[in-house]
Amino acid sequence: MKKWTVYSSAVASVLVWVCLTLIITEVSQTSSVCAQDGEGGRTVKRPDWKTGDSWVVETKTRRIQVRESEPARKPARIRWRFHVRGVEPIAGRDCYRIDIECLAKGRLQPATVIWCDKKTLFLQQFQTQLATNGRYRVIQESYSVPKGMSAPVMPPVTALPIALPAFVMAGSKGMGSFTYTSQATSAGSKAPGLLRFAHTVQQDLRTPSRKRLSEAKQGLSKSLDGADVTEVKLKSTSETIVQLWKKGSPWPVYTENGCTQAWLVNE
Amino acid sequence: MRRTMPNKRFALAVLLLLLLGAVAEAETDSGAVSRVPWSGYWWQHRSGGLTGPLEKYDRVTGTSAAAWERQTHVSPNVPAWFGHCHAWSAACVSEKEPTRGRTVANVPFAVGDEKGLLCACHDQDVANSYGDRYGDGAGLEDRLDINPVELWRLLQMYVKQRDLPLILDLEAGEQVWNYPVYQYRVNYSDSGNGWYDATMELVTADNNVEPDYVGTESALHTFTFRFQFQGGALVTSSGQWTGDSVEDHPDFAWYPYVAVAENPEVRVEEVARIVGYAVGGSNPPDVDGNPSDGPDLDPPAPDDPADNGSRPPTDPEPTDPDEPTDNRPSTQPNQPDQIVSWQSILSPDELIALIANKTSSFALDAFVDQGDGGRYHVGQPITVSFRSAAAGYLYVFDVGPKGQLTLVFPLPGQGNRVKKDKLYDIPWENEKAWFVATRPGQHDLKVIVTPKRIALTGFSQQPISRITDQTNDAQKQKPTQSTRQNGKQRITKQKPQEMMIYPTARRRLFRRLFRVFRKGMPAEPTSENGQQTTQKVAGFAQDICSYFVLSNKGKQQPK
Repeated sequence: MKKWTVYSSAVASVLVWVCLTLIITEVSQTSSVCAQDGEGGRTVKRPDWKTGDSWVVETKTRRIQVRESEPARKPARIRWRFHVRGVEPIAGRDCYRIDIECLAKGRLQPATVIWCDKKTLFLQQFQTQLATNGRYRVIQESYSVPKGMSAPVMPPVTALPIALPAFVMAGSKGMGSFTYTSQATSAGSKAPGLLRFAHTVQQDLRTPSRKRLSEAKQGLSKSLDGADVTEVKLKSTSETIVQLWKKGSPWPVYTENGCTQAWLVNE
Repeated sequence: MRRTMPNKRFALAVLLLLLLGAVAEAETDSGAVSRVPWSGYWWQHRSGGLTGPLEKYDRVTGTSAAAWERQTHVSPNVPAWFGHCHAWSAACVSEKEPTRGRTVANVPFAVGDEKGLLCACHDQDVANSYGDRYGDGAGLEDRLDINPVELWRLLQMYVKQRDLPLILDLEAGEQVWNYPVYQYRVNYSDSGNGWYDATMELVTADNNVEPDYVGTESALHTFTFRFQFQGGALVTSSGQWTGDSVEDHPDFAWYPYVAVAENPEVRVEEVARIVGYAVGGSNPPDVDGNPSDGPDLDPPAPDDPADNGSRPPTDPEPTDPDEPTDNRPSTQPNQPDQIVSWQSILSPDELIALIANKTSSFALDAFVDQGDGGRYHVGQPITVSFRSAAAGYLYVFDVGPKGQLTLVFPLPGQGNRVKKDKLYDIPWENEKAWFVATRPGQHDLKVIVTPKRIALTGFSQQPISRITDQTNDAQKQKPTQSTRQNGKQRITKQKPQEMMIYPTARRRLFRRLFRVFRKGMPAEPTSENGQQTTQKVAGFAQDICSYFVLSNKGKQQPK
């Protein structure tokens, strides 16, 4: 009898400990999700989106065909309006839906939609429109990670940088290497004959250099002087993205991915 | 007597297992678009760029677009490869193909003019690009970029899943040679130790055509790579180009995202008026790069239901590719049947393997008028004669002193069907000589008769009927382009074609021909290309006849 009492007490203690851990984890994840570096120094807090939020990003993309012998001409600057439309379920997860409207004049300009997990802002799915043969065609890609995890996804839209860092739980081990898989279809569907691709992205956080701040200031209407700014670097085998996150901004104030620079011009 | 049946059964079982294993290991992923991008000229800068179409545009609109083009792009000092191939690539994937000439404000516009103006509307498109362009002084400058698995992912997304072509710069070096891929196939098999070997075949629309060409000339390019699987997914970082593809592979991929005209004098609505249908594109940026504040597009013509001027819905559903979009008459619609059969087009490596092949399925005898080993001076006409023991399709290639490859016959527009046991001359009797001796040194003429017609990558074989110069008044064919003789069309003002292919491939292929024909070395690459060629043109015959070209001073001596 005494043995049973001790045994039951031990089991009960374990169960209580597990429950408490789960509760604490859930609370932490909801209220304080941010990216954090290995030393526990620089952090990037997850932006707090709400339905109806809107902001404008201006991009400048390097020209496809540039020749040294030709006079230098500046690339076109394009503005995009981001609009948080609401929350939609994607593959069983509640996701913020953000519509991105191209503000360039003319016909056949693309309309883009991204869905980000409501808790972690993991990019669950994206789609955009491309012109072909005088009309539109939608391209789409969805991403997956093990449940409860996150990763910085680098979608195939380099003219419109929409990658987001992995905002992991505060206090967890520092940034490093993340993996996710992609497939060229909507999340949760399994098209026959479709291959999945595994990606690895290295994420690092640091204090931005003066040069980086200077590049960012060129296109911003508001000064970054004195602001709490963190530089996020995302690196895969094929692409490197650098972002500057300012505390309280809904989107990186500056992004650079090797062919496009983007500035948050209107919050 | 000892029974041998069990041994035979065992051997058969083993053989079947091996075959099944081989079949199970090899897999294929492929895709093709339903609307093939149209071929068009690439508007070389040295020879005037888009000046011609823009001069006509200026006559209608009163602008100075041609002057801007001349000032900005046209120069005899720019490299020969400078042109508007990027603009053609963007236009041919984004816009419908003009198929007949039009007259606007009493100015006649040929198909080539219309295509040129569509290029002008896309000369500075903002594009999604994948991989870093090598040699531009920016970015990674990694010669092995673009990763083959990354490219495969894009082909799946664009071509297979979303019925979209994908534009590639095929030249791995500094030059940029843009082509839209509209069909692909990847064959892969387990090579052990967790690795898979793969061959990627890409069919592109070509721009080695006359400006007024209507339709699609196709080209096939083949690359090899290896990769790994992990957890049922391809590991993107594992992709590695292999074999010849380490040096010769696509540099980067892209697709136009936001249409932008570079020439500030070109207005999309005016181009739309000229071609007769709505055209994509925005007003060009002003001088310092700020978005233009120009007026919105004019409302579309009432009979053009495809363009209602509105922004696309933000909840887009996949569009029906076969839904008719306008009332524009088209004499040569771009039908899905232009998608090329894998068995009817040769990649450059397969062509080289064919030329290097010295086997024949039937007798074919070819000779030049000066006899085998005959001597010609530069500029002297050459007549090639041949007799084939079987009917088929004739191809005549000239391999130059350094391995340069030229297609002597058929020229664009020429029929090449030949009958059995009939003696033929090239050029035909009473036809003006168009095959003359060039490049001092030893030459080899490779004469091939195939059982079926084949498409040759790097050589234009556009039929003359595809080149039109139609106006609203009458359908006319350029009288100098063709004459009729014995019921077949003949081209009287053309010459043998140089192989038009990007430099890395051209150097590699010519080097291979040089080794085979000048050094007597075995044919390369590996036997795989040779086997593929044999399967595609099974039952062909070939013959070789050599000749020497002397310089006009007669100093060159045969070896």
